[in-house]
Amino acid sequence: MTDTTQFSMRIEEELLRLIDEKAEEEYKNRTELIKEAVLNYLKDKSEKERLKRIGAELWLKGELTDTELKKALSDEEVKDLAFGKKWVEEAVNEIRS
Amino acid sequence: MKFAADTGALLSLACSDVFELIVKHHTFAATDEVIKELKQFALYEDLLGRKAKEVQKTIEIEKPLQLLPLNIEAAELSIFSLGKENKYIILTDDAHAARIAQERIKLQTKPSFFVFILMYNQKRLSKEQLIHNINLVAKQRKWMTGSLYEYAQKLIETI
Repeated sequence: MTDTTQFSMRIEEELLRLIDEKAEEEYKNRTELIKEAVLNYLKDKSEKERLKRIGAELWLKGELTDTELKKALSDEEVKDLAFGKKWVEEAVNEIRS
Repeated sequence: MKFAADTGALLSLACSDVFELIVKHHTFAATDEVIKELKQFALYEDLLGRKAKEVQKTIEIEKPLQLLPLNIEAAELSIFSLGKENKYIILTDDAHAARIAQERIKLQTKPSFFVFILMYNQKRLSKEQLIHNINLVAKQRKWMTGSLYEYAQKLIETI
Protein backbone atom coordinates (compact mmCIF):
# COMPACT_ATOMS: atom_id res chain seq x y z
CA MET A 1 0.00 0.00 0.00
CA THR A 2 1.21 3.53 -0.81
CA ASP A 3 2.47 5.57 2.16
CA THR A 4 0.13 8.32 3.19
CA THR A 5 0.76 11.58 4.95
CA GLN A 6 -1.46 13.90 6.95
CA PHE A 7 -2.06 17.59 6.43
CA SER A 8 -4.62 20.09 7.59
CA MET A 9 -6.65 22.51 5.49
CA ARG A 10 -9.16 25.27 6.09
CA ILE A 11 -12.46 24.92 4.31
CA GLU A 12 -15.80 26.75 4.40
CA GLU A 13 -18.47 25.09 6.64
CA GLU A 14 -20.93 25.10 3.76
CA LEU A 15 -18.55 23.26 1.42
CA LEU A 16 -17.70 20.74 4.13
CA ARG A 17 -21.40 20.07 4.65
CA LEU A 18 -21.83 19.44 0.91
CA ILE A 19 -18.83 17.08 0.92
CA ASP A 20 -20.21 15.14 3.88
CA GLU A 21 -23.68 14.90 2.32
CA LYS A 22 -22.27 13.60 -0.96
CA ALA A 23 -19.96 11.16 0.87
CA GLU A 24 -22.87 9.74 2.84
CA GLU A 25 -24.91 9.38 -0.34
CA GLU A 26 -22.09 7.41 -1.95
CA TYR A 27 -21.22 5.33 1.19
CA LYS A 28 -17.78 6.90 1.38
CA ASN A 29 -16.02 8.81 4.07
CA ARG A 30 -14.92 12.43 3.74
CA THR A 31 -11.31 11.54 2.94
CA GLU A 32 -12.28 9.03 0.22
CA LEU A 33 -14.57 11.54 -1.47
CA ILE A 34 -12.01 14.37 -1.44
CA LYS A 35 -9.27 12.04 -2.73
CA GLU A 36 -11.49 10.80 -5.55
CA ALA A 37 -12.42 14.37 -6.53
CA VAL A 38 -8.79 15.49 -6.58
CA LEU A 39 -7.70 12.43 -8.59
CA ASN A 40 -10.47 13.04 -11.13
CA TYR A 41 -9.46 16.70 -11.40
CA LEU A 42 -5.80 15.79 -11.99
CA LYS A 43 -6.76 13.12 -14.54
CA ASP A 44 -8.90 15.64 -16.39
CA LYS A 45 -6.11 18.27 -16.39
CA SER A 46 -3.61 15.70 -17.58
CA GLU A 47 -5.92 14.60 -20.44
CA LYS A 48 -6.43 18.24 -21.49
CA GLU A 49 -2.65 18.80 -21.50
CA ARG A 50 -2.15 15.62 -23.54
CA LEU A 51 -4.60 16.92 -26.15
CA LYS A 52 -2.93 20.36 -26.16
CA ARG A 53 0.42 18.68 -26.74
CA ILE A 54 -0.96 16.64 -29.65
CA GLY A 55 -2.49 19.81 -31.12
CA ALA A 56 0.75 21.76 -30.70
CA GLU A 57 2.83 18.97 -32.24
CA LEU A 58 0.53 18.63 -35.25
CA TRP A 59 0.55 22.41 -35.77
CA LEU A 60 4.34 22.53 -35.54
CA LYS A 61 4.50 19.77 -38.18
CA GLY A 62 2.15 21.78 -40.41
CA GLU A 63 -0.58 19.17 -40.11
CA LEU A 64 -3.05 21.42 -38.29
CA THR A 65 -4.29 24.85 -39.42
CA ASP A 66 -4.31 27.94 -37.17
CA THR A 67 -8.10 27.73 -37.00
CA GLU A 68 -7.95 24.09 -35.87
CA LEU A 69 -5.26 24.90 -33.32
CA LYS A 70 -7.42 27.64 -31.82
CA LYS A 71 -10.04 25.02 -30.94
CA ALA A 72 -7.58 23.28 -28.60
CA LEU A 73 -5.59 26.23 -27.21
CA SER A 74 -6.43 29.61 -25.70
CA ASP A 75 -5.52 32.80 -27.61
CA GLU A 76 -2.52 33.39 -25.32
CA GLU A 77 -1.33 29.81 -25.75
CA VAL A 78 -1.57 30.13 -29.54
CA LYS A 79 0.54 33.33 -29.39
CA ASP A 80 3.07 31.63 -27.08
CA LEU A 81 3.35 28.59 -29.35
CA ALA A 82 3.77 30.74 -32.48
CA PHE A 83 6.50 32.72 -30.70
CA GLY A 84 8.03 29.47 -29.43
CA LYS A 85 8.25 28.10 -32.98
CA LYS A 86 10.36 31.06 -34.19
CA TRP A 87 12.35 31.08 -30.93
CA VAL A 88 13.29 27.41 -31.39
CA GLU A 89 14.11 27.90 -35.08
CA GLU A 90 16.46 30.80 -34.21
CA ALA A 91 18.25 28.67 -31.60
CA VAL A 92 18.59 25.72 -34.02
CA ASN A 93 19.95 28.10 -36.70
CA GLU A 94 22.94 28.75 -34.44
CA ILE A 95 24.18 25.21 -35.01
CA ARG A 96 27.51 25.25 -36.81
CA SER A 97 28.08 22.17 -38.93
CA MET B 1 30.07 31.21 -20.69
CA LYS B 2 27.67 32.50 -18.05
CA PHE B 3 23.91 32.06 -18.08
CA ALA B 4 21.06 33.43 -16.01
CA ALA B 5 18.63 30.52 -15.84
CA ASP B 6 15.14 30.18 -14.44
CA THR B 7 13.79 27.13 -12.61
CA GLY B 8 12.32 25.44 -15.68
CA ALA B 9 15.51 25.87 -17.70
CA LEU B 10 17.69 24.52 -14.90
CA LEU B 11 15.42 21.50 -14.42
CA SER B 12 15.35 20.85 -18.18
CA LEU B 13 19.14 20.81 -18.32
CA ALA B 14 19.34 18.68 -15.18
CA CYS B 15 17.01 16.11 -16.81
CA SER B 16 19.63 15.54 -19.53
CA ASP B 17 22.38 12.98 -19.08
CA VAL B 18 25.12 15.56 -19.74
CA PHE B 19 24.37 17.98 -16.91
CA GLU B 20 27.69 17.28 -15.14
CA LEU B 21 29.56 18.00 -18.36
CA ILE B 22 27.59 21.21 -18.90
CA VAL B 23 28.34 22.62 -15.44
CA LYS B 24 32.00 21.75 -15.89
CA HIS B 25 32.20 24.15 -18.83
CA HIS B 26 29.52 26.76 -18.11
CA THR B 27 28.38 28.81 -15.13
CA PHE B 28 24.78 29.31 -14.10
CA ALA B 29 23.54 32.22 -12.06
CA ALA B 30 20.12 32.17 -10.41
CA THR B 31 18.24 34.34 -7.96
CA ASP B 32 16.62 33.80 -4.56
CA GLU B 33 13.25 33.52 -6.31
CA VAL B 34 14.54 30.60 -8.37
CA ILE B 35 16.08 28.95 -5.31
CA LYS B 36 12.71 29.22 -3.57
CA GLU B 37 11.02 27.42 -6.49
CA LEU B 38 13.74 24.76 -6.60
CA LYS B 39 13.25 24.15 -2.87
CA GLN B 40 9.54 23.62 -3.52
CA PHE B 41 10.36 20.96 -6.13
CA ALA B 42 12.92 19.40 -3.79
CA LEU B 43 10.24 18.70 -1.18
CA TYR B 44 9.21 15.66 -3.24
CA GLU B 45 11.25 12.53 -3.81
CA ASP B 46 10.39 12.23 -7.52
CA LEU B 47 12.65 12.84 -10.54
CA LEU B 48 12.19 16.62 -10.62
CA GLY B 49 12.61 16.76 -6.83
CA ARG B 50 15.94 14.95 -7.05
CA LYS B 51 17.06 17.12 -9.98
CA ALA B 52 16.08 20.27 -8.06
CA LYS B 53 18.39 19.19 -5.21
CA GLU B 54 21.27 18.49 -7.62
CA VAL B 55 20.85 21.81 -9.43
CA GLN B 56 21.03 23.87 -6.23
CA LYS B 57 24.60 22.66 -5.65
CA THR B 58 25.76 23.98 -9.01
CA ILE B 59 24.44 27.52 -9.25
CA GLU B 60 25.74 30.89 -8.18
CA ILE B 61 23.15 33.01 -6.42
CA GLU B 62 23.01 36.62 -7.56
CA LYS B 63 20.55 39.46 -7.17
CA PRO B 64 19.51 41.99 -9.81
CA LEU B 65 19.87 45.64 -8.82
CA GLN B 66 16.58 46.60 -10.44
CA LEU B 67 13.61 44.68 -11.78
CA LEU B 68 12.49 45.13 -15.39
CA PRO B 69 9.01 46.57 -16.02
CA LEU B 70 7.43 43.28 -17.10
CA ASN B 71 4.25 41.62 -15.95
CA ILE B 72 5.59 38.06 -15.64
CA GLU B 73 6.18 35.59 -12.77
CA ALA B 74 8.59 36.72 -10.03
CA ALA B 75 11.26 34.10 -10.74
CA GLU B 76 11.36 34.82 -14.49
CA LEU B 77 11.36 38.56 -13.81
CA SER B 78 14.34 38.29 -11.47
CA ILE B 79 16.27 36.12 -13.95
CA PHE B 80 15.53 38.32 -16.95
CA SER B 81 16.56 41.40 -14.92
CA LEU B 82 19.76 39.75 -13.69
CA GLY B 83 20.66 38.52 -17.16
CA LYS B 84 20.07 41.88 -18.81
CA GLU B 85 22.05 43.80 -16.18
CA ASN B 86 25.06 41.52 -16.39
CA LYS B 87 24.84 40.63 -20.09
CA TYR B 88 24.45 36.93 -19.31
CA ILE B 89 22.64 34.68 -21.78
CA ILE B 90 19.12 34.34 -20.41
CA LEU B 91 17.73 30.80 -20.39
CA THR B 92 14.08 29.98 -19.93
CA ASP B 93 11.63 27.37 -21.18
CA ASP B 94 8.71 29.65 -20.45
CA ALA B 95 7.65 30.68 -23.97
CA HIS B 96 5.04 33.03 -22.52
CA ALA B 97 7.53 35.01 -20.41
CA ALA B 98 10.03 34.99 -23.30
CA ARG B 99 7.38 36.36 -25.68
CA ILE B 100 6.30 39.11 -23.28
CA ALA B 101 9.93 40.16 -22.72
CA GLN B 102 10.60 40.32 -26.45
CA GLU B 103 7.37 42.16 -27.28
CA ARG B 104 7.60 44.73 -24.48
CA ILE B 105 11.32 45.49 -24.17
CA LYS B 106 12.93 43.53 -27.01
CA LEU B 107 14.78 41.35 -24.53
CA GLN B 108 16.37 38.30 -26.11
CA THR B 109 16.15 34.98 -24.29
CA LYS B 110 17.09 31.46 -25.32
CA PRO B 111 15.34 28.15 -24.74
CA SER B 112 17.41 25.98 -22.40
CA PHE B 113 18.41 23.47 -25.12
CA PHE B 114 20.53 26.29 -26.56
CA VAL B 115 23.17 25.11 -24.07
CA PHE B 116 23.23 21.70 -25.81
CA ILE B 117 23.71 23.52 -29.11
CA LEU B 118 26.65 25.48 -27.69
CA MET B 119 28.15 22.24 -26.36
CA TYR B 120 27.70 20.70 -29.82
CA ASN B 121 29.32 23.73 -31.51
CA GLN B 122 32.20 23.42 -29.05
CA LYS B 123 32.50 19.74 -30.08
CA ARG B 124 31.75 18.57 -26.54
CA LEU B 125 28.59 16.77 -27.68
CA SER B 126 28.03 14.65 -30.77
CA LYS B 127 24.97 15.18 -32.96
CA GLU B 128 23.53 11.94 -31.53
CA GLN B 129 24.03 13.22 -27.97
CA LEU B 130 22.48 16.55 -28.93
CA ILE B 131 19.35 14.88 -30.32
CA HIS B 132 19.19 12.27 -27.54
CA ASN B 133 19.33 14.92 -24.79
CA ILE B 134 16.75 17.18 -26.39
CA ASN B 135 14.49 14.14 -26.65
CA LEU B 136 15.19 13.17 -23.04
CA VAL B 137 14.13 16.61 -21.82
CA ALA B 138 11.08 16.75 -24.15
CA LYS B 139 9.69 13.70 -22.37
CA GLN B 140 10.03 15.22 -18.90
CA ARG B 141 8.53 18.64 -19.45
CA LYS B 142 4.99 19.95 -19.74
CA TRP B 143 3.04 20.15 -22.99
CA MET B 144 4.28 23.46 -24.44
CA THR B 145 7.98 22.94 -23.63
CA GLY B 146 7.73 19.29 -24.58
CA SER B 147 6.25 20.00 -28.00
CA LEU B 148 8.77 22.78 -28.70
CA TYR B 149 11.67 20.52 -27.70
CA GLU B 150 10.33 17.81 -30.01
CA TYR B 151 10.10 20.35 -32.80
CA ALA B 152 13.73 21.35 -32.15
CA GLN B 153 14.74 17.70 -32.25
CA LYS B 154 13.03 17.18 -35.64
CA LEU B 155 14.69 20.32 -37.09
CA ILE B 156 18.12 19.19 -35.91
CA GLU B 157 17.62 15.71 -37.37
CA THR B 158 17.21 17.26 -40.82
CA ILE B 159 20.44 19.30 -40.63
